Amino acid sequence: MTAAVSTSQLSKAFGSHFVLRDITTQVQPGDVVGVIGKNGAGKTTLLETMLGFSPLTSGSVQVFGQDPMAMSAATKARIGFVPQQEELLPTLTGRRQLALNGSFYPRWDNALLERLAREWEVPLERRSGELSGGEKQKLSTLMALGNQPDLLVLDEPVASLDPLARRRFLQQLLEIATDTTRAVIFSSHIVSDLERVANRIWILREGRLLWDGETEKLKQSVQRLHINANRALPANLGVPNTLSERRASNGSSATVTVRDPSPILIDDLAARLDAHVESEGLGLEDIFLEIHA
Amino acid sequence: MKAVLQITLTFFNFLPLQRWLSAAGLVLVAVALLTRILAGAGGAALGCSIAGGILLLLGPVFGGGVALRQGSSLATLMLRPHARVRLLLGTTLALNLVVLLVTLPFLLDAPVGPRGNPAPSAVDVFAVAWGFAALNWVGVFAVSRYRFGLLFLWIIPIVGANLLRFLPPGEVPDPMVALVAGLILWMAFAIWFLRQRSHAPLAFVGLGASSTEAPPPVPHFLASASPSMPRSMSQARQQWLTGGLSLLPNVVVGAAQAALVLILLFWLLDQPVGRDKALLGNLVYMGVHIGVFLGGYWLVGRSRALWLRGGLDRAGLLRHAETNGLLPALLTLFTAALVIIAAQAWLRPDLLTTILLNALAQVLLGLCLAYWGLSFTHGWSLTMAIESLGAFMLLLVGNIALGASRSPPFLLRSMAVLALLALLLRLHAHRRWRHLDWRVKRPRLNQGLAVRART
Repeated sequence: MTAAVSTSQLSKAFGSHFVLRDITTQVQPGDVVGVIGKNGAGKTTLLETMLGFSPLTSGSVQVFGQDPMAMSAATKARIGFVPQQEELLPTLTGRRQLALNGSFYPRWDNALLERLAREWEVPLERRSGELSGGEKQKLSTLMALGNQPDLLVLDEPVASLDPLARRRFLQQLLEIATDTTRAVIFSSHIVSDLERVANRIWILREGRLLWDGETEKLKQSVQRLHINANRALPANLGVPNTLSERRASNGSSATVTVRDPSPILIDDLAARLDAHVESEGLGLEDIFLEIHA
Repeated sequence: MKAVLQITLTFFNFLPLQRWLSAAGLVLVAVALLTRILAGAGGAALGCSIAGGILLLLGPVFGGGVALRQGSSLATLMLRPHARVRLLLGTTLALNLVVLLVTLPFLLDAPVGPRGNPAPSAVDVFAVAWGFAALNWVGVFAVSRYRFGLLFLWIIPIVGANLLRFLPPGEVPDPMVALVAGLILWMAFAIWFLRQRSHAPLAFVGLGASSTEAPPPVPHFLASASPSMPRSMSQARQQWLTGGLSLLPNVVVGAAQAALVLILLFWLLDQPVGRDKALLGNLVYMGVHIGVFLGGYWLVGRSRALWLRGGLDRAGLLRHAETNGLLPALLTLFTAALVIIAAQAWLRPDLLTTILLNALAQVLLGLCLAYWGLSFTHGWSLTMAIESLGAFMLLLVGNIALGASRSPPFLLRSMAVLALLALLLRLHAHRRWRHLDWRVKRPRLNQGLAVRART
């Protein structure tokens, strides 16, 4: 099966400043990929470079097997995209906006959009210039869903939504995600949302893909070790794959966050440091914070 | 005090392009001062001071009021300590700097006035310029709250500057009257500004630079909420690109701008002056040309919205932008030209051939500027800054040369040169669009003043 998106050694620089470096990954139909990273980590650049808005500096990208800079009309019609900043025409009503957008696509599901607009409480009779930020965002998302895309890319789609709207939106996204012929990539700073919906996570740091894998695997692979020793701990604890380390003021306690701890690590550490070692699983938000600590 | 100075400085660098223009202007003014000190009065010092002054003045004169409104957001006024007073003091200082820059050439070396008349004294120029600067700043601030205000930003400065340029000394407004009127206006504005809880937000942002912004501003009554649905993919693309299918706004805007400026000029200049009153209509072109250039520039960003819609590649998008974006913009220019031709022909029927040739040359100049705007696909760099200066010089020199000429052979030669230049600029734009990067397009206006008011 052709991957929805596939990148190899993708790098992107603006002038001499590299925003993305050596990103190699694939998105298959059925994947719901959540993208997280600090501001300026390169999330928007990555999404927009994948879709051909921005030429690569080096490496390659393919969307449904085509170079995004030279995608055919048929391939473009398989993509739905919600940009970070809406691109609505302020003088048109929401309904006109949807109809206009629909005229670009061979398949357009008006019934679905009408239903979603009711559920999400989008006032389609008002000019989009008069809508609130959240309503504009919902309308933009509706526009991206109308062509029943095989690849749906959403750049911070819930940033302006209230908690209720966010929940409804994510529910809808889950419905879409259960359709195994579609792929979804979305970025968000609300990590709990990603945790709820995404089955794969990309963590970007300084333009590099720090983690690319299943959400559950990521949660299993990062653990926090609480070490309470009977004597002062050495300066170097010698814990492999340490992400962060915090020491208590008494010198005999420490908290270490590690990646991919081996099963014997805890026993080995307890024996070597003459300490009681407890491990704790972390949520996605904590993992994100530890990675960026 | 630091905040006030930073706010003042912001008026001279709130746009990326403006930073380059201001830097170049500052160098020229420094050269003018040095030349004056080392070599005494002369053409070099005068030329440098005028050119440098124009480069420094462009931003604050055309956009000072816009920047002030942008900086006077509710959050800034409510949350920043003494924000209103600081903004007002910073703006007042900037206004004085603007006036000083206008006066500078008269301080260095008195230029000769129209028809060889002696130039007015620096003090008189300072006084009259103060009155016009205050009127302009308040006027631009006022119109910037309306969506279609962008189209009229240039009218006050261009009409004001040309009144000063063409009126003989005896008819220049009495300097002291102008100064006092300006001071009263500014004080009234200051009191109003300080007492308002909030100010209406800027009705247009980005000045055509953002990739995501709304289509060009048109009066609200001209923009239908339920326009007829596009009948073809091409029409759908056009609507997405420009906001509508109707060309009526372009016609109305072009005619309205030309008529407004002509009425203002003809009404204010009711005496025969040093040149044909009929040719004053040429001044209108400069404002419309700025709009056409910005229109081309704006299309680059807006075309992003069509990348995933409608199935066009970058070359196809450029062709679409030419057909459905540039042509309507040129229609505005063409309509303005028709109004100008009618007015000029009515005043000087004996110059009809010259007037027609002049209008054609001006339309070609507009075409060049539109393609130049369309080739601004890159982020701001030294190359783009040089190109911006080039476009500005073309606008200035082209308008002055065409506006002053009554010679049909010269106008025909100009048309040939401009047609060739338009062709070259089109090729240039095509080459640039092949690698168009919509990630480098950013909104041009920022919260600079608001940021500086925090300090």
